[in-house]
Amino acid sequence: MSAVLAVPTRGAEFARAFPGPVLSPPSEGASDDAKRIRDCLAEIKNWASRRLGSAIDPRVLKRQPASTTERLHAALASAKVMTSEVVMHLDREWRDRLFAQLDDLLAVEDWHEDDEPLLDESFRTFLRLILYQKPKRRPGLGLSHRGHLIAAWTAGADRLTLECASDDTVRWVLSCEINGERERAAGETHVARLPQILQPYRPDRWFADADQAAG
Amino acid sequence: MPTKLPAEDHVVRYVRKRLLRRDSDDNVIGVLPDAFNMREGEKYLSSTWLEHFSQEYEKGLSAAAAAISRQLDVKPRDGFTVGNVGKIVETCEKFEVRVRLLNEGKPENTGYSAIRGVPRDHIELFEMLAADVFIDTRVAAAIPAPA
Repeated sequence: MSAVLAVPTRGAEFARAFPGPVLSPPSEGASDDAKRIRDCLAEIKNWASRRLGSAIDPRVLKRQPASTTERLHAALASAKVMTSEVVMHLDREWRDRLFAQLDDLLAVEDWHEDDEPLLDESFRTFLRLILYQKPKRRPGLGLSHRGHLIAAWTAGADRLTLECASDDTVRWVLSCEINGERERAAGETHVARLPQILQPYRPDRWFADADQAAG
Repeated sequence: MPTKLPAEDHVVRYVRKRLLRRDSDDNVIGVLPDAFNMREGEKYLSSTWLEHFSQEYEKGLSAAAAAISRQLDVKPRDGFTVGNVGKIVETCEKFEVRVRLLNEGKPENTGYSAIRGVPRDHIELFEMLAADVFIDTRVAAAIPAPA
């Protein structure tokens, strides 16, 4: 299983994945053994940080490059690397089209200096969303003021909009017709729960191929 | 002195490319709900009164877009979306939100207007504004310059 799927980012899940006491240094004035333990703990912490990628503080990492172009290229490269980790779960055409959408979304010539580039953690949530939900139809992509990826599916007047935040959280809002009545709903949930949340709204109207949805 | 906008008139809101709603083939089909979410530091939603420039819709839209471009760095693939004043007020009232649309003209954009009273992060309201009220969205490059 890839890192995108395997590494939880929420506190409780992190604790389950990395059980044991919270990492803390040994007492002051301790022996050589204590120093070795401290070094080992630091190494474990670094390892965990690497496993989590930029989850520790992605904004800090994004702000290091000097120019807008560099920041955008860094965000784009990071998103593509993360996608490559789960590429075996994605249809080739779907992946190629996703890359093209990302290239377009983060195009330097359309960018405003004060826009927040795509956050790694948001994109990780998006990938999980795609892997859990397995939509046949691609979403239109946007980006919030906070650098969160927004995935939008539109089928006639039926609309579904998902904002992928950090920590696997998805803010969702939808509007659709059910039994001749227009229903609207919104909420916030963990990405893994989203399929259950959307089930009553018959999400195939958005996620199935156009031909399937029509059939 | 700010002037209240007539209910039958329209306002034009500038929307960056990243907040335009697209279909799976990347065609622009509207705006995302977040297009109505204020950024940090903003106290109201900016817009421009279309009829201030012309009673003729297309002419008013062109002139409003030109006025906004004098104020802001509008890029060709950014967009403009148009909503009816009365419908904005009515839709906000459905959520018990009372808004005021006031013309607060500036030298570079005399039609500049504020939509005051819109709360932050009210995603259901923003979705309804995006779906049912701001129903005419154009890419900036597609709007002709005023004659």
